[in-house]
Amino acid sequence: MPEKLKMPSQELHSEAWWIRVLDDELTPDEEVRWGAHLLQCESCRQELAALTRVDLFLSQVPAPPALPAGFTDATVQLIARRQRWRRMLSFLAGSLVIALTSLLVVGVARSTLSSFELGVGVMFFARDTLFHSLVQTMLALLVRWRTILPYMVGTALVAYALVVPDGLLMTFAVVWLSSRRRARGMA
Amino acid sequence: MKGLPVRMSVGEDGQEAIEGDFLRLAQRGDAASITKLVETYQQKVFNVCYRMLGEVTEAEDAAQEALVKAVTNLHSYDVERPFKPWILRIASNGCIDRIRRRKDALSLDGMGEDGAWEWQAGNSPNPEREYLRNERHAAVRAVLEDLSPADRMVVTLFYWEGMPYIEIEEVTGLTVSAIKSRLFRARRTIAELLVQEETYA
Repeated sequence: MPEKLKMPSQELHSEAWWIRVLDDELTPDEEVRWGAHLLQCESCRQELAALTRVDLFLSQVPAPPALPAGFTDATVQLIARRQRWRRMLSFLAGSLVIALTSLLVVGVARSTLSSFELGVGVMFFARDTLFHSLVQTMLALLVRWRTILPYMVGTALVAYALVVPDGLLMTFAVVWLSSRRRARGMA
Repeated sequence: MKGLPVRMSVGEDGQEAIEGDFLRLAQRGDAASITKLVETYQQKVFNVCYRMLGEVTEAEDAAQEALVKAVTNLHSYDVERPFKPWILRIASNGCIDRIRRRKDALSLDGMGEDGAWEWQAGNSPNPEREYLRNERHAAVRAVLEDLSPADRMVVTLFYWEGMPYIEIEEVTGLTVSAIKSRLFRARRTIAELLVQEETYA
C-alpha cells in the first residue's frame, strides 16, 4: 500500500499524535493502527508505560493540608481593613478637590471684581488647569477603581460652570460691570 | 489498545459555584456574602498555591493575598462570567510573582523549608504513616520544582483541579494547544525524574 501523506497529528511518533492518544481522541481507525503499532514498537510501549506511571504518580498525591480554623476570619478582616483604607483615600481625594476648587473659585471671583482683564486671564488659566487636572485625576481613578465619586464629578462640573470664560462668574461680572457703567453714565 | 485515561483528578469538588446574584451582593460590600465567598473558594485557592509554592505558610499567605485582591477588585469583575477561573488567575499570577522573587533572592536550599514538616509532625498518632506521607509530599514537591512555573500551574490545574482545557486557558492565558503541549512535555519531564529517583533511591 502506498504511503499516504500524513498530517503532523497523524505521524505516529509526533507530539501531536501522543497528545491525541493521551486525550483519548483517536478515531476508531487510528486506534486500530495504534494498537498494531504498539505491538511492534518497543520505544512507544515504554513511552506509554512511563506516561501512565506519571499519571498514576500524580493521581496518588496526598491532598494539601486543610486551612487553619481562623483563616476565613483573618482574611475577611484584612478585606474590611483594605476597603476602609480605600474609602478613606477616596474621601480624602474628594475633599482635596473640593477644597482646591473652592479656593480657585474664590480667587477667580476676587480677581475678576478687582480687575476685569486680570479676572479674564485667571479664568482662562483656571479653565485649562482645572479641566486638565480634573480629567486626569478622574481618568486615573476610573482606571484604578472603576468608580466615579458622584460629588467629584459634581464638583468638577460646578467649578467648570463657574470659572470658565463663558461661565457663571464671567456672566455675573459682565452684567454687574455693565450695570455699574450705566449707573455711572446716568450719574 | 488505548492508553490509560489520563485525568485522574484528586479531590473532586462537589460544591456549587457561587451564583451571579450572590456575587453582586458581595460586590456591593455585603459582609455575609463576602465571608461566604471567601469560605467557598479559600481551600481551592490554597490548594493551587500549595502546589505552586510547595510550602504551607507561604501558600497560606499567597492564598490570603489572592482572596483579598479578588474581593477588593470585585467591582472590576463581570458577574456573568464564572468566578473560579478569575480568582485562580489572580492566585496564579501571585504565585508566579512569588516564585520569581524567590529565584531573585537565590536561596541555596531549593527544596523548601522544614516548616511544612513541622506542621504535620507531632500531630499524628501514626508516625510511620506520617513519615510516608511526608515522603510523598516531598517527592511531589521535588518533581514540581523542576518544572517551570507555567508548567507547574498547568499540571496543577489539570491534574488536581480537574479543569478542562478551556478553563485552564482562562486562568493561564495560554492557548489550548500551548497547554496541551506544555502538559505533554511536563509529563515527559516528570517521567524522566521518576526514573532518576528510582535509580538513586
